[in-house]
Amino acid sequence: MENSSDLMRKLARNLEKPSMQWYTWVTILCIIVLFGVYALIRQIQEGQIITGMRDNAVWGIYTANFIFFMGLSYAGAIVSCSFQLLRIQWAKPLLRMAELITVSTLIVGAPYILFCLGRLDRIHYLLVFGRIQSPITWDVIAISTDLIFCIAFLYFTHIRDFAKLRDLEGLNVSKWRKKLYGFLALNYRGTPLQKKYLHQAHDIMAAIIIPTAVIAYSLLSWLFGMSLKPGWHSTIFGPYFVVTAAYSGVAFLIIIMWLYRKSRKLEEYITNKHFNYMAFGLILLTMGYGYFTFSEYITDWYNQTSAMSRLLEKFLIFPEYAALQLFHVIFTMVVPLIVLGFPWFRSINSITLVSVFIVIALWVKRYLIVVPPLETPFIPIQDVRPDWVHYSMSWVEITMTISGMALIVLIFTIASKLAPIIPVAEIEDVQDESKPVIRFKTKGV
Amino acid sequence: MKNNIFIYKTRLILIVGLILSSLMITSLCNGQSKESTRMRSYFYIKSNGDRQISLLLTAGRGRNMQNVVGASIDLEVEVGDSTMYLTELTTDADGYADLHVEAGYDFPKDDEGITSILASYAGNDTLRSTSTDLEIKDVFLELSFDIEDSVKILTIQATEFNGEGERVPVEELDIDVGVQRLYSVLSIDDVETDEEGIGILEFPDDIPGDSVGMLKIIARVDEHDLYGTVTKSGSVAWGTPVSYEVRLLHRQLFTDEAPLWMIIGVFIALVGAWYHFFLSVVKLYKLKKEV
Repeated sequence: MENSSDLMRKLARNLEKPSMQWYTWVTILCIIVLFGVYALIRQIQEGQIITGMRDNAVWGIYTANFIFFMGLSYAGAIVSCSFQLLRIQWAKPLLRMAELITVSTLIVGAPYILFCLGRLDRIHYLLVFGRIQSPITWDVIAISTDLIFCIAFLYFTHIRDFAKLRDLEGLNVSKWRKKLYGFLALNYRGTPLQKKYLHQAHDIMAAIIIPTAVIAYSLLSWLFGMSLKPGWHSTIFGPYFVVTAAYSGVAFLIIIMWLYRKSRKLEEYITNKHFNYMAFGLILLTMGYGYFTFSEYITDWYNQTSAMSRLLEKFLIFPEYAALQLFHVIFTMVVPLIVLGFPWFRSINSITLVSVFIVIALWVKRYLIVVPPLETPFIPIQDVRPDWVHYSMSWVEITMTISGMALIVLIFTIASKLAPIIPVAEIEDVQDESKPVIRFKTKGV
Repeated sequence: MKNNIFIYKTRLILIVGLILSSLMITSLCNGQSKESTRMRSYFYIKSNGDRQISLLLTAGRGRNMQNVVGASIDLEVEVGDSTMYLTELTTDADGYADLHVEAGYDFPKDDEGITSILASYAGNDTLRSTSTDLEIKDVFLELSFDIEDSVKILTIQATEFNGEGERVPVEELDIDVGVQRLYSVLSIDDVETDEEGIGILEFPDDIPGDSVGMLKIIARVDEHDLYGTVTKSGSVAWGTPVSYEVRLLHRQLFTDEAPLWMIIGVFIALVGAWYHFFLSVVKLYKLKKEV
C-alpha cells in the first residue's frame, strides 16, 4: 500500500500549474456565470415583469432551484457528517466531494430565494422587522447558520491536507499558494495533541451539522407545509423533503464521483465497491421516496376538497402537468428500482446515468411542488388574463439557472485545484487506524 | 294551351306560397327568439332629502331571468296630458339604472301631488321592449326627542304636499324605527301615524351607544307603494355609554410579540448550536498554539 507522501504526490499533480485546458474551462464557466449576472441586472432594472412570475404564480423556477440546491446541500452535509461520525472506512475517498457539494450548492442555492423578491433594497427588513414566529425568519437563521457551519467543517477537513501540501517538497505551485497552504494549515504538525484537538473539532461540527441540516431543510419544507394551499398544506412535508434531499444528494454525489473518476483517473480510489454501496443506498432512498410520494398523493386524493381535485386533475391532463409528473414518477421510482435492483443492469455507467435522471426528475418534482399549487388556489382564479395565471419561464430565469449550475461546477473546479479531491489524510487514517473510534458506552457491557 | 296556363298558375301559386311561408316562419322564429324583459322600479328618499329612482332590467324565460347590462332606458314624466322627456339611463353591471335627484328639485306633479314617471326600454334584436310606471310622492319625516318623567319619547311627524302645495299630515303610515349599529340597523319598534301624521314611540333605556352614549336613530318607511323608501335619522344621547378600552392581546403566533416559549426555544437552539461551533473554533485555536 502506498504511503501518504506518495499518495499526496500523486494526487498533487492535479494541483500544480493549471494547463491551458483548465483556463479555457474556467473561462467558459465564468462567461456562463457572467450571463447570469447580466440577467440579474436586467431583472433588477426592469423589475419582476421580466420573469415569468405574476400575480398568481408568484414563485417559479427560482424557488424550485432554491429548494433543489438547498436539498443537495443538506444531503451532502448529512452524508459526509454521518460517514465521518460513523467512521465508515470505505466512504473516505468520497468525503471531500460530499463536503464540496454541501458548500457549493449552499452558496449557489441560497440567493435564489432572494431573486424572487421584488425589492432587494429592502432585504435587510428580514432582520430588522423579522418576526420570530415566521417560518421565513426561522429559515433565514437556519440557512445562515448552516452556511457558516458547513464552510467551517469543509475547512476543518482540509487542514491536514493543507499541512501535507505545505510540507510536500517539489510541489510545483506558485509561492502565494505555498504561503496559503502554510497559513491555512494552522501550524499543524501532526502531534498527538493536535490530532486529538482536530478530531474533536471534526466530530463536534459533524454532530452539530446533522441536526442543523435536518432542521433547516424541515423549516424550508414548512414554508410550504404551514401555508393553507392545496398541494402545500401537508403534515408530512418535513420528512418528505428530508428524504427527497437525501435522495437527490446521493444521486448527485454518484455523478460527481463518476466525473472525477473519469477526469482524474481515480479508478484506484473510487472503485466499483463505492458505486455499489452508493447504489444500495440509492435503492433504499428510492423506496423511501416512493413511499412518501404515494402517501402524500393518496391522502390528498382520498378525501379531496374541490381545490385539491382541481390540482390532482392537472397532474393527469397532458396539456397541463401530466408529462412532467410521468417523467418524475418513472425516473424517481420505476427506472431506479429496475436498473439498480437487478445486478445484470447495474454497472458504474448505468448507476451514474440513472443518477443523472434522478437528479433531473427530482428538480422536476420541486417544480411540481411550487408552481401547480400556485395556479390552483382555493378560490378559483377569475377575470384574470390566462398568461397571468399560468407560469412560464423567461430567458432571465433559464439563464440564471444555468449560470447557477455553472457556478457550482466552477467552485468544484477551483476547490479541486487547491486541494486534492480525495482527502489524503483521511485515507492515511484508514491505513494507520490512528483516528480514535467513537466509544458508545453502555452500562453493564 | 289551357293546360300550360294551368301549369304556370300552379307553379306561380306554389312559389308565392313558399315565399309567404318562409316569411311567416322567419318572423315567427325571430319573434320566438326574442326574450321577454321585465323592469322593476324603486324609489328612495334619503335622510338629507336626496332622492333616488332605481330601475332593474331583467331578461329571460320563466324563472331564469338575468340582469341586462348596458341597456338604455328612457325616463319621461307626465305633465298634464302629455309627457316630458327627462333623461336616458344605462344599466350597470348589475342591471340597475339609477337616477339621483337632489333635495329641493321638484318633479312635475298632478292635482294630488303625485309625480308619474314612465320608464321604457326599447328592446333590441334579442330582447323585447318593456316599460314600467312609477308613481311617487314625497313624504317628509321629522323626528323630535323628548324626555317626560324619565321616559324617552320619540315623536315622528310625517307630512306631504297636497295638490295646492300645502303641507298636510300623512296618516296610517307605517314607520320602522331602528338604531344604527356597525354593519346594519337594529330594529327597535314600528309605529303608525295617526290622523295628525304623528307616531309616538317610547324609546328603551338599554340600547348601548358610543363612549358618551350617542345613538343614531333611524326612522324608515319601507317600500311604500306611493312614497317608496324614505329614511330620516337623528342623533341623540339616549344610549348607555360603553367603554371601548382596547385590551392588549397576550403573546400569540399572530401578534407583534411572539410567545415566550417560542423565543426561549429558538434562543436555546441557537445558543446550543453556536456554542458547539465556538467550541470547535477553540479546539483549532489550541491546535495552532500547540507545537
